[in-house]
Amino acid sequence: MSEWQTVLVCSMTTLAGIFVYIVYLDLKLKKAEKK
Amino acid sequence: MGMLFLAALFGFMTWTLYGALVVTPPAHVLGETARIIYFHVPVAWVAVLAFTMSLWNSVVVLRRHSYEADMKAEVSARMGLWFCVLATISGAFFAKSAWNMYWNWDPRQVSITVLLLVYMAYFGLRSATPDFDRRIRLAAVYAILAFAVMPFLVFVIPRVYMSLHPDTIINADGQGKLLDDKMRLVFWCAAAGYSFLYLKLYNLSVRVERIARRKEGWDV
Repeated sequence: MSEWQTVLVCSMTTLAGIFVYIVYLDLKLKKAEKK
Repeated sequence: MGMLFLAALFGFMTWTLYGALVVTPPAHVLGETARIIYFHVPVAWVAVLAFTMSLWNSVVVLRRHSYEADMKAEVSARMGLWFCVLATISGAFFAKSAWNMYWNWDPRQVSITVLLLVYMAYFGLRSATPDFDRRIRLAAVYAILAFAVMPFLVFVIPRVYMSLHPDTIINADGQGKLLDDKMRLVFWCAAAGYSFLYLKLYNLSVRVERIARRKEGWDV
């Protein structure tokens, strides 16, 4: 794997992680707002 | 709707990231290091956007004495501060690559640091004022003053003094003429993507803050 491919994979994984966390927070907030 | 928006934003930002790292060519003078503009400039722009939101909500606080607007002003200022930190750190990495030093007291670096201090003081002021009503009024006035200083620190001072910051690549003739078409497309997509990401994060932060403030007894 070239350096650029490594950078691309790492940055896309980070981006995916950020979005997964946003979805998790969104769902958790919806539960807390219902209480 | 919320999830659909997030999925669309994720797809859009993934494409932008791919465009920034693969599709766009290296810049004329700066080479591969110029790819930082697809991250550094959008996050700096989002910081300005967040400070503008903070200003708007602070004006609403003074006009209507609204706790809700105060909450939004605080959340937005906090996010602006974090995006400003991201712009500073990413700028320092660029500086290391282009100028061989993380920090060289360039006017851009100094002015963004002053801006960080100005907005840090906003939170110092808030936490130093225990009375709710006094706190929201003082914070609103301070946020308006801080915003009045911001354009000078971000746009004026770095252009008045000699700076190594590579404005010419993006702002040549004020038209961005030195940006290749692909670069310009990816750049504007990144700016839009980060702006929408900010809006989503802002929405989440306001909801978190609302729950926290209700627990503290605020009427929001």
